[in-house]
Amino acid sequence: MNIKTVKDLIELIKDTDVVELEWTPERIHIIRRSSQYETPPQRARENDRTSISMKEKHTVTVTSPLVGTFYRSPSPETPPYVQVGDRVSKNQVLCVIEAMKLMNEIESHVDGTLAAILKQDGERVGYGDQLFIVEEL
Amino acid sequence: MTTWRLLHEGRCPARKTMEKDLDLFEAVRQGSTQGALRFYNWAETALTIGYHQRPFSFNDPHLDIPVIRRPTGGGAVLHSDDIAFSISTAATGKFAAGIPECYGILSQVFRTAFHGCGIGAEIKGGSHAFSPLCFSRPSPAELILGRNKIMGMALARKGRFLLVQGVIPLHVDHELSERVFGEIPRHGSQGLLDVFPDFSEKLFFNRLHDGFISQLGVLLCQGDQDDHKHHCADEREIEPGCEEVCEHHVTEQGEQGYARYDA
Repeated sequence: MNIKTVKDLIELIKDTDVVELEWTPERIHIIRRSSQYETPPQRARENDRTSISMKEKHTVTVTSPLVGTFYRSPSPETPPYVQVGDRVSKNQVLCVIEAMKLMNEIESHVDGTLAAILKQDGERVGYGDQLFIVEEL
Repeated sequence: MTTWRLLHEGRCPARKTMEKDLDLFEAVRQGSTQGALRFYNWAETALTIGYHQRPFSFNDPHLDIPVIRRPTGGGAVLHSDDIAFSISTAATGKFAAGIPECYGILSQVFRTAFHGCGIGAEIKGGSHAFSPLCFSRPSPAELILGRNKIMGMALARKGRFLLVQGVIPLHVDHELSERVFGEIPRHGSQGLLDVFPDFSEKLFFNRLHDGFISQLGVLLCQGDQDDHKHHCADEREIEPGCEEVCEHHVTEQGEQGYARYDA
């Protein structure tokens, strides 16, 4: 896909109810939502249980430092590092992002409670993408 | 000049290899040493798979060899006769750059060592895409000789520290490879000794040592992982912390048959 195609796509969905469009060689995934919502439904669901308290508590967003594949567990056979609601401590590993055969552990910057997980296991993530929200203690 | 511990450990039980690499990595993270370069080979044939690679069934269901998960990424590697190594270092200096640059600088050091042995290894720009078999094709900035990928590397990063695991196949057992992976093309999957029978490990380690000094500014000091006694592999410059210095350029045969190199 070249830059002109990207621009054309942006122009095409501008002023429509499409809030998220994912284009990969394998598929095109479109999420349509009423414009009054800012987050896709999946993220909204994960945020539901904490949305009220997040307004009152200081939260820290953990972002991706690199482009790669997001993994929630140390290996396919093991449980995730963390679940929503878990207490997490500073420097605790929250996930791994793999890029070019590099396994990059992503740690919490603060002590707190995991309020939201914003990516799916195995999902491609970009630089600066939001991965987790942690309610700081 | 930075000083790293150099370990030639000879044959290592397959299930201990990753543990030892992680122990060294942790020692570097804790500040016990500035860096470590560990060479070893395998006490038994084993398969290693990438940190998040899905297990797969052997092509021959009767095959019984250990399968070990690496702390680094990448695809499966069948280890039967190879030079395996790990590097533990802070992600500073030349290792502070991006991922391709880290692969690139290490490949340059190893390429220089291969060239010093008369082996015309080249750095190949390969595909970024994941391959379930490490040696089925070169990744970006990996070393090839003719059509053969002759060295594979994968990384793990924790905070500001980097673990590199690599392997240089010496002989490839094609029959065993087929029992593990199924039929794979034999061209492009030869061991170094299969294509360059005169390869000298001793000379290679010497050249590599020179490369670490000249290209990375790293002085390698022979060191035992357990008792922390180590001595400089290069007597031209002795760094504080090297408790013993090798006397002269005397090549010793390691206890387990692994040639310890002299500078």
